[in-house]
Amino acid sequence: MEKQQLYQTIEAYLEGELPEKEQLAFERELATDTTLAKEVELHRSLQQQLGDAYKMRLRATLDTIAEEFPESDLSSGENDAPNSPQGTGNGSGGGIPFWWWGLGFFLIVGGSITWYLTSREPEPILLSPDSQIESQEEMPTAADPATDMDPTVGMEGAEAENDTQTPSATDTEPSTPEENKGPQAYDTNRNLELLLDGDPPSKRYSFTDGELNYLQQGDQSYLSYSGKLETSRSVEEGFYLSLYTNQYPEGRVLREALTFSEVNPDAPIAFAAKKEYVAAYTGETDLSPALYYGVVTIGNSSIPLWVGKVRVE
Amino acid sequence: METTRPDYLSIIRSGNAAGLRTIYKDFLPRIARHIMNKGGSYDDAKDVFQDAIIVLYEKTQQPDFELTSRFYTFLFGICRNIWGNRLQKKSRTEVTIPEDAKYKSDTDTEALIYKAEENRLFWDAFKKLGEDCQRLMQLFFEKTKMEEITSVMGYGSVNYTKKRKFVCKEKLVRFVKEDERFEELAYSNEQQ
Repeated sequence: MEKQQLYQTIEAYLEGELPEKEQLAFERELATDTTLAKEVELHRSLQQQLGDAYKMRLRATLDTIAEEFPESDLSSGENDAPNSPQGTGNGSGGGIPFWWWGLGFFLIVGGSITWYLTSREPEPILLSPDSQIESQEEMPTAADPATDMDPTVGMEGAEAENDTQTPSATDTEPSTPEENKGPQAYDTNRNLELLLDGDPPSKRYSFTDGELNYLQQGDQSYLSYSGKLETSRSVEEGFYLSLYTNQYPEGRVLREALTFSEVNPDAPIAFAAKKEYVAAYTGETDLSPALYYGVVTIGNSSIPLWVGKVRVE
Repeated sequence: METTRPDYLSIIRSGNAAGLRTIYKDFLPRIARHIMNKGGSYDDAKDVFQDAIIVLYEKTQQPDFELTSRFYTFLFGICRNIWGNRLQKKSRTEVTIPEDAKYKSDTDTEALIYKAEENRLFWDAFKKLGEDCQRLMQLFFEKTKMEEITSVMGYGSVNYTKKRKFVCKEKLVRFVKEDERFEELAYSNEQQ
């Protein structure tokens, strides 16, 4: 326990997060205690080296490649095998074409990356006091038609939903804007307001330059969102734009998948480099006058990657 | 026959796997033979080769870096230095090394080699961790917020994540310190 405390202090010190007094005290200690100073240096180096995502990936890639070069290749290299080291030319002899190994490697690495990405299913934790509501709403295609569509579908769904608390689903579903009309409809939501100004919680997926608009044309009204996403990861995991009344998270009005287009698809692909995408959504919605918050999330996570608001008069 | 040689430095800069494989294919055998002639095993050679690529990567990150010799010459020089260093360290404990195996290189490269060797030690220790710890540590070192780590790892609470992070990091630190190469690092020496 004491050691855990020490680690925490060292990490906070390295991040410059110690309060001034504590920092000064810690620095005095560092000046006299060489063991402590060395420990701090080790933590600093670990952070620098293992926090270098590019180098980590490079290492992993090189490890995988190295395995494809067994020692036996070395002796056969004396003759004229494809891997001929003395390389009178590019070793394009017989045997398996070299790029087959490349293909195999990509399948393996690509596959495991995909697995890695898909196997991490973030659970909703942030800002959702009632996770049950969240998880029921997470399956819009399955649950929504059953609750607010025609009765035949409802009958079909009822069987499956027997034990999934249909009543509570219908309780939460109708919290449509109509109910929020009145003096409170324009109230702000404190939690979401905090997120509007705060740093984005995710360094992996950074949504920027987002804009949420509501336009009325004749008797139709449109909700549109456009924003930029920067990430070095796959964008296929599924991002969603949810629209809430100021009653978050109960007052969800809309949950729609976002589509992406790469900003600069012809740019050379660096291994761990971030790519830019433009995300957009336009939908026809009949919103009642109120203040709405748009929240971008990934998959089933309820961690907001971007929050914006729009006022509908 | 050398007119269409790939731009090896760009490959290293971009981390392109197919390109990196070309580097292995084109140069590993020659360098491995050299190192094996100097008393190393094939596995030693592969380690040295990989560390040299890490050094080259660091080099390419320097804005003013320019390759003044042929790529192979440069790569070979770094490998020779790394292997020379390792022999020297070994010699302190066991063997005497032949004069011609002691190489000198410029201080900048020497510093990058030191950094790459430190990276090698950390990387080897990191790989000894379980899969769960590896993922957790990676997220932590990438400065992901505790809340997000909790969610990504599917842990029950932020407190648990913090505890788990400590357990994993302590293990990592122990693996590093237990490694005999750790003694070569500056901050493990008495002078510091």
